[in-house]
Amino acid sequence: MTTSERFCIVAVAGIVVLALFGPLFAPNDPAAVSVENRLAPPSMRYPLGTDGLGRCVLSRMLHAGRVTIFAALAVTATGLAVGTSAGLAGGYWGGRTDAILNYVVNVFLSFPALLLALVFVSVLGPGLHHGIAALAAASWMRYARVVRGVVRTTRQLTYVQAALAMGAGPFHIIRFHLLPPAAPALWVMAVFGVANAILALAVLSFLGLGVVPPTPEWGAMIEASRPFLRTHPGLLLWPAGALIGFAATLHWAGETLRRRERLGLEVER
Amino acid sequence: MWFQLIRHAALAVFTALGVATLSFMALAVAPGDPAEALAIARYGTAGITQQRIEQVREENGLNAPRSVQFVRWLGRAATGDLGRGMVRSVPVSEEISHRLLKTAQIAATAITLSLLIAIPCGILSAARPGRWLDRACSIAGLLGAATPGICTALLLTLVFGLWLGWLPVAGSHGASSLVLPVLTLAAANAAWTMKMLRASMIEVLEQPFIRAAYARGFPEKTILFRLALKPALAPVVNIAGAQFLLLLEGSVLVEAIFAWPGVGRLLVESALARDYPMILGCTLVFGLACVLVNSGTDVLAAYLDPRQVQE
Repeated sequence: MTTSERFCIVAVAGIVVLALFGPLFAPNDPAAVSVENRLAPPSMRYPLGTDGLGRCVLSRMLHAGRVTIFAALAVTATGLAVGTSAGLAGGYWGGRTDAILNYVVNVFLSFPALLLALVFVSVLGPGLHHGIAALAAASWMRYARVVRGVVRTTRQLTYVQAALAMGAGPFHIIRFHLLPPAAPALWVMAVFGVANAILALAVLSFLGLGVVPPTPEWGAMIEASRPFLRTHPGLLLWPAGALIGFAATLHWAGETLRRRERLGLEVER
Repeated sequence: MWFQLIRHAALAVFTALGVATLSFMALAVAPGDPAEALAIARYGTAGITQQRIEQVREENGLNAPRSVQFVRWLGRAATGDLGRGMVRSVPVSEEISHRLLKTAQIAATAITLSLLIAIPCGILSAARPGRWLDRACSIAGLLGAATPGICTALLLTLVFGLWLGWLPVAGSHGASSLVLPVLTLAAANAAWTMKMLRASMIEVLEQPFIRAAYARGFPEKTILFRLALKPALAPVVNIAGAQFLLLLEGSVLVEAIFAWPGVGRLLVESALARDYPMILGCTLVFGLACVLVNSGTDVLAAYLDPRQVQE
C-alpha cells in the first residue's frame, strides 16, 4: 500500500465520520430561525455566522452532510441493485431478454442523467425521497451495461460451461461464477456513483427540485446564498467547499481503487 | 462502410423512437388532469367550469386512450408540431427553435475552448508522466470532475463579476456575457477529456511504431502531435457522445444561473411550473440531439481507428 493510498483511506474515513457524527457537534438547531441575528458574522455562538434567515451556518452544514450522504448511498444502492439485476438477466439469458434490456438501457443512456432526473422530479414533485427515486432511475443503466459486458464474456469460459454441464442452476452460477468477476468494476463504479449522486442531489436542490425547506442541504444552501453573494460570500464558500471536498475525496478514492484493480477509465463514468 | 452507415442510421432512428416513448411515458404518469390544467391556462383559475374542462378535453383529444394519444402526438411531432405551452400559449416548437441557437452558441464555444485546453495538456502530461505538469493536470482534472457546475458558476461570478467587476453576471448582451457560462461549461468538460486523452496517449506511446519513429530520429514534436495523436484521439471521440450529454446537463444549470435564454433554462422553468407540453418538447429535442451526436461520433471513431469497425 502506498502513502497516497493510506492518505486516501484516512480522507474517506474522515468524511464518513463527519457525515455520521457531524450533527452531534452542531452548536445550534439547524432550522431555528432568528430574525434579529440574520447575516451575523462569525461569533462564539455562531462559529460560521448565520444565513439570510438567521440560521446557524455551521449547524446546517453538519446536518446537511448526513442528509446528503444517506441520500447518495440510497441512490447508489438502488441503482446498483436494479442495474446489476438487469445486466445479469440480459447477459445470462441472452436472446430476446437481452435485446429488450439492451434497448432500454440505450434509450435511457440517450438522455443526460441529470435531465432524466429533472423530468422524473417534475412529474413526482420536489422532495428528498422523490429526488432519490429520480436519481436512482437515472443512474442504473451504467451498472447494467458493465455487468452485461462482463457476464457475456465470462459465460463463455470453460468453468462456467462445466458448472452448467454439471446441472448448476442459474442462481448458483450467477452468485458464484458471474457476479465475482463483475464485482471489482461494480465497487469502483459505486464509489463514483456516490460522489456523482452527492453532486446531482445538490444540483436538484439548487434548482428547487430536490429537498424542500427547511431540510438543510448544501445545494439548497448555495441557492439561498445567491442574494447575499456580494456582501456575504461565506454563505456560498462554506457549502461549496463541503460539496467539492466530499466529491473530490470520493473521486480520488474511486480513482485509487480503479488503479489497484487495473480497470479502464470507462468505469469512472 | 456503407453498410455500417445504414446500420447506424437505422439504429439511431430506432433509439430516437425509444427516446420519444420514454419522454411521453414519463409525463403520462404525472398526477393531475391535463385537460384541467389546459383549461386553467386558457380561462384562468376563476373561469373554469366542468363543462369547459370537458370541452378542452374533447378539443385536444384527451379522452382517447393513452396509446392513441401517443400515436397522435408522435405523428404531430414528426411534422414538427409539438403543441402549445401551458404557461404562455406559444407553439412549443417555435419557442424551442428560438432558444436552440442560444444553447448551441455556448455549447459550441465551450467545446472548442475545452479542446484547446484538454488536448495540449493531455498530450504533454502523457509525454512526461509523473512530472510536475502531469501532477498539476491530474489534480486540476480531479477538481474539475468533482466540482459541480453550480459551484464553478457562482465562484466565477463572485470573483470576476462581483469582486473584480470585469464581466456581466446575467443575461445575454454581447460577447462579454458569453465568457462566464462558457468557462463554467468548459472547466468540467476539459477535465474529463484531458484524463481520457492522457490514458490513451500513454498507451499509444508504448507502441512499436512510436519507438521506431524515435529511432529514425523524428523530432519529438512530430511524434507527439502528428503520429501519436490520431490513434490516441479515437477513444476520446468515442466518449464524445457521453461528453455531449454532460455538456447539455451543464448547459441547463449554466443557463439557469446566468439567465441565458436557451433551451436548458426553458426546461428548468417548465419543470418548476409543470408545463408538460414544454417539458416534453425540451426532452425530445435534447434526446434527439444526443442520439444524433452518438451515432455521429461512432462513425467518426471508426474513421479514426478502423479496427473498431469489425466489432
